[in-house]
Amino acid sequence: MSVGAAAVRRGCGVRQQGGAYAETGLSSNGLPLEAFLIDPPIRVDAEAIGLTAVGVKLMARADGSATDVWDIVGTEHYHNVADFLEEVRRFGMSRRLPATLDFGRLGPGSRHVVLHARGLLANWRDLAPERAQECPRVAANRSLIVRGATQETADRYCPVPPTHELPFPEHQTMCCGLWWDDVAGGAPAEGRADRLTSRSMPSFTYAARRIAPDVARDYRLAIVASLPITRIAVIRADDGRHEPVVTAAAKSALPVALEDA
Amino acid sequence: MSDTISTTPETPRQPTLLPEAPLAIEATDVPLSALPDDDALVGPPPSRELVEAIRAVGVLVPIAVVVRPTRRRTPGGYDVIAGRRRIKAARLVGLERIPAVIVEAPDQGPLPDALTIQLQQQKGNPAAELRAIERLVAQGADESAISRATGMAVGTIRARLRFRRLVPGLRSAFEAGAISTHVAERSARLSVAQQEGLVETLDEKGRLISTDVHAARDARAAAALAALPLAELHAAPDATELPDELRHLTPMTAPVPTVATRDVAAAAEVAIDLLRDLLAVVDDAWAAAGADRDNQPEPARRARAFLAEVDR
Repeated sequence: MSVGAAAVRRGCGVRQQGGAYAETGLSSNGLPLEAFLIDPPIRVDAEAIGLTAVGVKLMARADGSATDVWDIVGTEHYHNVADFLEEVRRFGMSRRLPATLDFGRLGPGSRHVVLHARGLLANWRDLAPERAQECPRVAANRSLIVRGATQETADRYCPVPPTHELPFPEHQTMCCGLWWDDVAGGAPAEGRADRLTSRSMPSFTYAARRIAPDVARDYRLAIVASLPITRIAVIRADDGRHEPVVTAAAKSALPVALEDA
Repeated sequence: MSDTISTTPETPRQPTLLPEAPLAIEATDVPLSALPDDDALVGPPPSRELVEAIRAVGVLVPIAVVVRPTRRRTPGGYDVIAGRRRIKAARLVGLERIPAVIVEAPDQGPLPDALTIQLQQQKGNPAAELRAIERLVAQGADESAISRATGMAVGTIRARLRFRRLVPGLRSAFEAGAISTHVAERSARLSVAQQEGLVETLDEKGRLISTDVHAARDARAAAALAALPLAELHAAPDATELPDELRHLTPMTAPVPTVATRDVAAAAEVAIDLLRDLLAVVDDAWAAAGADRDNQPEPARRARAFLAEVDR
């Protein structure tokens, strides 16, 4: 059974009446979040692409197969990449779309391309000595097999990045697992040698690490995830101002749901 | 005796926004014929209420004008700092003179920058405003000081300063009025290379409009996009052929080892979830075979007992 994203208080607040939100829903038969992570993260020049910190931008693929929504997740609400991803893992994704968006360009193949200012750590090698975990993509690939998938199926839906064919210490690029090893703002666990930290968000708490705290970080804006848009949720407004938004959203080839705030 | 030498910190010299000598200011009436024509007074016409109020009681609040002594007798020799709508309303009701505060500027040399800015705001000339602001910045004035001296909002000052990003070809066209303020604002956000391309467009077509700027911006975005290694972004899992269910995310309750499992405690929780899932599979298989659940093998019973203990 599949459902939409949960209506909880998120890092960026609660959903607003009359707003349209791109969602990636949850399903008991869905794929793990890790299947949609971009590993290694892809560095992006926001100015060249025409992206701004506010709002989203529709980007047609070069082959014309679909149009994606590119969205910079703000560090003021999600200081760490893992803040956003762990929220998505628990509640699905819900990101506001402008009412003036050309919804007609969105369809089932559209992705919500998530960018974060701390997505790529240029000096990731400085933190590597303290890392010991395998790549999350590898773990997710294995989890599909645990759930009964064949290796072929697991590789098809959650392939291990080719850059990670070597064991972790020999990685040639930054591994997305670093997002969970480089979490700032958490409460450190007393007496733990592994720098375990408990990071609280408005609706949940997750465990991560803050390794090599003394190392200077050189972050770059990068694409961190490419999430399928499973539906558009429009939030019902007391004064009915959601109605034109529903009409606009219905121009997409995606399911549109009218939800309460 | 202390080796410390006490010194008074040198106070930074404040920029001179107005001339050292005070400007001559007088309050008097000026003939409306000495003021610029209505067409030269940029801005909306006066409201009906304003016209009627002036018809009833005259102009109570003086307008502000600046004039050079040698131009006092010249029709239109006054530049209006404030009061464009009052002037238009006064003309509409047939007045011949209007009360004014007159700032007398020096006959020679440029007008003080603070006055220039106020004048150019009245005339709607952002290029001239920019030049005046740049001169003040060169004197060491910051945005707040300029704002205090001119009455211009800090946001407006910043907007004007963004024009400094224009390449020389566009800057000169902007100052000459060959491109609109809107086009200049949009162009200033582009890279130097893109702006140079717009200069070529301007040279070829003799004009530059918003569509040209948008085209340059989109071309740049397309080129930047093409340079990105986006294969993985759309390929895996396949974005267009992904079955609907697989386009969703597995909720946290499913036995998926996550990165949080790298913590031992979290790993234990996931292992327990995994055990529950496996038992559910056993139950399904047992039920499909029509067998009694109570007769499941010993390991299954022990696992169930373990979970019951955990739940307690």
